[in-house]
Amino acid sequence: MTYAGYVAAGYGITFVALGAYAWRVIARGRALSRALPPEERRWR
Amino acid sequence: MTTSTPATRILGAFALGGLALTAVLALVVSPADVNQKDAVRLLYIHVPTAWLALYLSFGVTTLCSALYLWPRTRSRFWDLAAGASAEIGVLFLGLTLVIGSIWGRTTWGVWWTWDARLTTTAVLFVLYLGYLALRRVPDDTDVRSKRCAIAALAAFVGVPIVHLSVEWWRTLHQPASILDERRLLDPAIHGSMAWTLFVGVIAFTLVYAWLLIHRFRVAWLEERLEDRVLETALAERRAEGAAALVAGPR
Repeated sequence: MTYAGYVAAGYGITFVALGAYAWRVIARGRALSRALPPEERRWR
Repeated sequence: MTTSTPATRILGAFALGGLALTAVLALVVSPADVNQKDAVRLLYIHVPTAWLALYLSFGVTTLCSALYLWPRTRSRFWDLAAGASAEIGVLFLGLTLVIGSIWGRTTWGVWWTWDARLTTTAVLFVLYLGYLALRRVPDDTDVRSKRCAIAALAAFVGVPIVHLSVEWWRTLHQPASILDERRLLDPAIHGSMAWTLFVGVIAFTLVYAWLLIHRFRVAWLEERLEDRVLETALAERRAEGAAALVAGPR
């Protein structure tokens, strides 16, 4: 494959960035849910 | 204790599956381009991220901001949804710029050039970063939300400028291959390349939908927590005041 390093970098950066952002959002949601009383947690 | 529901878990599974399918189609199934060779594989993620950021994410932000500004439809829901969509849009636009830069290095020989399409996209990226910064400025919730909604409407003016930049100016960046009214029925891409791009757009749209739902719920929980902290502080102050009244003057 030509430009293999560039292609790998492009896909790697995209999937790592999306994964990191998704993980951050989920972790923040979990932390916020824990801080709220059970009756105010709308999603479980 | 999450922002997930069974529906979002199913959506997430489809989004992950879509991304995996896109990677297989883009990296294994579709052929290399005659001119761009294997660098064309970068376009199967560059085009979907650009489509998501420019048209879907910022479009949703603009629509939600307009609905917030309209007195009859004003609701916290629209403001939170606008902010959530803009944040995801900035992420996707950042990826568009990075992947485009990598592709540019292979095809044009440079990481960056002050081409009209690239420059207007970079300006739009900075504009929406400013919008996100504005959302963090502490103020009365309604005042801040109205200010941000107006800023979102103003920032969206940049989207058609980015779209039309390849026609208004002589650019190194090629014109639209699909989102062009003259090419809509006869796109400049065919066969497995077209299918890969189509699957990529669907997969990234599912990722956007999944992220939007979760980011909106996080924003909603943040507001509930802020309200709760405020209510607790007020209750404590009231209790202190009542205790001082009972104790009488010293």
